[in-house]
Formats: sequence, C-alpha cells, structure tokens
Amino acid sequence: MDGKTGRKKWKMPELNGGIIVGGLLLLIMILLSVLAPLLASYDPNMGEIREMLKGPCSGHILGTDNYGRDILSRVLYGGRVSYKVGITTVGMTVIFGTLVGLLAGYYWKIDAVVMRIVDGLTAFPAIVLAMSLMAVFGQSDSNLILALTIVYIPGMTRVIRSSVMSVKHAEYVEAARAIGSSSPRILLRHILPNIISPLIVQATLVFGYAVLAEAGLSYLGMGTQPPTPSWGNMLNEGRNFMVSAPWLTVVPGVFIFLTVLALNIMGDGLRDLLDPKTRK
Amino acid sequence: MLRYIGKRILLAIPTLLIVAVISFAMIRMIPGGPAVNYLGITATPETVAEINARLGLDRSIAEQFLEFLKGICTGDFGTSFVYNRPVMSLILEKLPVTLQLTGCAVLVSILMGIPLGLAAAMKRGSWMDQGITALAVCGVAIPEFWLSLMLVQFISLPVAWFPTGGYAAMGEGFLPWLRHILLPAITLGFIFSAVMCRMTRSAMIDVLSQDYIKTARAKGQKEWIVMMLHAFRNAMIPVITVVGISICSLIGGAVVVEQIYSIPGIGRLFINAIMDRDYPLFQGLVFYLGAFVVVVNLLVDMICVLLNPKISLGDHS
Repeated sequence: MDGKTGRKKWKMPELNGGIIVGGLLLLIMILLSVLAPLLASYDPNMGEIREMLKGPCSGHILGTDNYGRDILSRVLYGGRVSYKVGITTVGMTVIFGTLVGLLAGYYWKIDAVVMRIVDGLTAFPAIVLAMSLMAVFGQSDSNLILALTIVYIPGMTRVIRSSVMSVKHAEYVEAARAIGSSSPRILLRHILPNIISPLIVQATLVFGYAVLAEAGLSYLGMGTQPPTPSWGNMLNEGRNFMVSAPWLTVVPGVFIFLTVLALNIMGDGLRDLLDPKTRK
Repeated sequence: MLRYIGKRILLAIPTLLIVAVISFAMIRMIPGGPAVNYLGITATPETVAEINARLGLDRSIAEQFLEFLKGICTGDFGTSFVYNRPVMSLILEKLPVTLQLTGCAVLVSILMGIPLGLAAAMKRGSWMDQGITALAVCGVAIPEFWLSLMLVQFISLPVAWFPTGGYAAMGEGFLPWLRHILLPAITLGFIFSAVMCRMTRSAMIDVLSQDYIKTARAKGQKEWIVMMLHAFRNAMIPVITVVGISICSLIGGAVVVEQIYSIPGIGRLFINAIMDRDYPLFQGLVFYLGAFVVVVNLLVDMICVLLNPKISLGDHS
C-alpha cells in the first residue's frame, strides 16, 4: 500500500508463456495490417492483366490473383477488415454484455427475463444466427458488426452474470451496502473491478470467434463484399483456381489460422493467469 | 433422477418458446417487409398483398404468432416460395443427410480426439503430451471452410477416389456413400476432435488425481482396469457435456461444410433459403435449427444423469 494515498500500488502480473507467445503473434499480425500502406507494394484493388495468376516470385512474393492483383497487398489490407470487425464487435459485446450481465446478476427480476432470452439466443448455432441476422439487416460492414455483436452478447452476459452472482454477497459488497452506497455505485465501483478477469478472457475469445465468423460469412458471400479485400472473400474468389493457383486459397487461410491461433493461445494464457482455480 | 429429468424438460419449454419468438420476429424485422424484399423491383401493391396474405402478414401480430405456434405443434411451417412444397417435407427430406454428416463427424472426432486425449493424460508432461496438446490448440484454430478447401486441394484433386463434392445416398451403395461423406466428415470432425482431445485430457488428469484411483491402484488392480473401468468412465461425464455443447457449433459447421462440398442437407437448404429470400422456408429452418439444439442439449443432460446419478442428487440439495 502507498502510505500517502492509501491506494494499492499496481503490480505487473507475472506473464506466462501463453500470453507472451500469443500476444506477440497477435501483435505481429495486427501490425502487418496496420502498416499495410507501408508494407504493401501494390494497390490491393489494382490489377495488372499481364500479371494474372502469377505464382510467388520476386515481384509478387505471394503471387497474384485472376485479376493480376498482388496477393500480399490484398492479404495485408484484408486483415484490416477482419481486425476492424473483430475489435468493434469485441468492444460492443463487452459494453452491452457487461451491462446486461451486471443487471441480470444483481437484480433477480431482470435475471429471470434476460436469461430466458439469452437461453433462446444461445440455442442457435452462432453462424446460423449471424447469417439469419445478415439476411434480415442486409449486407454491410456495420450490419455485420451488429449481427456478430448480437450473436456474442449472450455468451458475455452469461459469464458476467455468473461472476456477479459469485461476488454479490461478498463481505466488501455487504459493507458497501451497509454504509449506504447506491446499487449503481456498488455495481460499478465494487463488483465490476472484481469480475474483470473473466471479462478479459471472454473478450479474447470473442475476438477470435468474430474474426472467424467474419471470414466465414465473407467466404459464403454474406459478409464483406468484393472488391474490398477480406480473408474470407479472398478464399471464396480463390476456390475457382485451386488447381492453377493454389496460393490463392492457402495464403488467406494461413492468416486467419495464425490470428485465431494467437488469440486462442493468449486466451488460454490469460485464463491460467487470471483464474484463481488454475493459478498456482 | 426422474424428478431431475422432468424438471429439465420443463426448463426446455420456455427456451423453445423464446426460439419460436426469435424465429417469428426474424422475418418481420426485415426493412420494408419480406414481400417487398422477395419481389424486388417487380413489386406492385397487388403482388405485395398476395405475398403478405400467403405469409399471414395481413393479420394482427397476436394472430400471426398463435398461427405460428399452431404450425409448430402440427409441423406446418407453410409452403416454400421456391420449391412450392411444404417446408416440413423439405426439412424431413434433407435431415437424414445432415444427420449422417454430423454423425460421421462425431464418430471421426471420437476416434481421433478421445485416444489422443487419453494418451496425453497418461503420459502427462512428456513430449507426446506436449505434441498432442500443440496439435489440439492448432486444430481448434483452423476454420472449417479453409480446412475443407485444403482437403479438396491436396486430397480430392490429386486422389481421384475422393470426389470434390456432391452426395451419394446409402441406397447407391456403401462405397459411393463413404467416398462422398468421408472428407466432409473429417473436415467437420477434425476441429471437434481437437476440442474433445483437450477435454478428455483435462478430465482424465482431474480424475487420475482422485482418491478412488489411488485406492484402486493400492488394491493392486491392473493399470488398464484402473484406467478404463475407474478413470475413463468418470472422465467421460464432462466430455459428454462438452459434446452436447459442441453439437450447436457442429450444426453451424455443417451449414458451411454442406455448402462447400455441395451436400444437399439442411445447411445447404438454409443458405439457399437466405439467397432466394424464401421466407417461409427460412423461418421454418431458423426455428428448426434452434429447437434441434435445445432437444440435443436436453438429451445430453439426461445421458449425463444416467452416467452419474450424483448430478440429479446435487440438484435436490
């Protein structure tokens, strides 16, 4: 404790291998996309007909597609779409899922209604619900984010609700109640900081799910629409050239795989670090 | 135990009702209404009114919902716009194909995931454990749509024995059926097997540290009896629960895999219903897919109670 302020000094947690390896891999993948304008030698949408379906060579490290567009440039820019959708979906899921989960966990009357809706929504396979919502809302990036947020809010709500229920009768909450703290204050100042660990782990998982779902929906023609490059629609375009240009389907898939792998490893590492049951 | 099962069935009813509400609300949320969307630029007030009447949208919401619930109870989800056939008959026609695919995928995942999980748990900390764990972590991260493309690219195309898509019914012979179903089942089952492997490993490690295992070993029982009779059986309870939870993602995966391999199952029908704006079929399938998962989860819960009656006792306490 700091003697002057009475506040706890923030201590750097001991990072485990999962967080370091997953975090580094994710950082590299995100940086590749963020720095796409610097790293990519070509315009991702500009094709050169004489260069079409060229295999990996010095001019095009990862080859070109059927319009003569550079695959490296497209895959770097494509990551921007995946990360934009992933990060925005995580942000919105965390905000709304936490809010609903806090209320459901704290007020039993709200819980009864909210959890029935959550049960109903989680009955649908995520991709089925996402496709259905895209069919209803129409195809656009913002609708894709909205659909994925609706799909992943129930999972977040469940995690937050159960965490709230496990701490809402803790001594420090009872003490806050005894000194007359209002319910919103108890929820935001006392309960929320103590349930942040499962929230972070779930957010990491949702990021991975959202990247996968965006790619899947784009692959099926229901997500990001061409010519905007996204890993999913690159795979869809490449499937017609599997014999003559196998790199068109291999490269975007490897990028999706590495991103999801990084998030999964990081999620496992965070769970090990933050979950008191698994922490040594 | 019966009381627990009865309670579990009662709990599933409100969930099914919510699934019905979501399916019902879905097509009514379409901006402009389903009739205008289906007809597009050819929409006239007359044709819009005709489609609305066909979908029952010209009545009050309460009447529409009651009619929808009645349809669920009688298995009448209306008539498909595109196929001009009752939605239920289409679902029943395509269902066996999807069940075969998911069944084979579960089989693949059991054959791959459980032995690997057991081997990793029994050799905990060894290079084999680390290798299997790494493989499972990678397996979970592979998207099924990419895996299916890779299998087509590197197995179907070079090895002509495996077709790149399509489906052969059992009636056409076992071998043609197997040739068509094997790669899609491996695609779907591979990711599932990674989940199963991780779960089996952690459940076995947990069970192997229990006192009754030490007692069994102290009594001088053979190691394989300890493993199979005492450890494996108890470790299977969380694994079965995970199988139940994963059925939901397995059905989702089947939708994608069926589309990629051109398998005429429920998943392909669902994507076609979306693409063709076949709203009666879409609504029926949304409800059906949700309800299917609820029922499977219910069955998994019951299997878990049968395997471990303590679950129902715990519920009473």
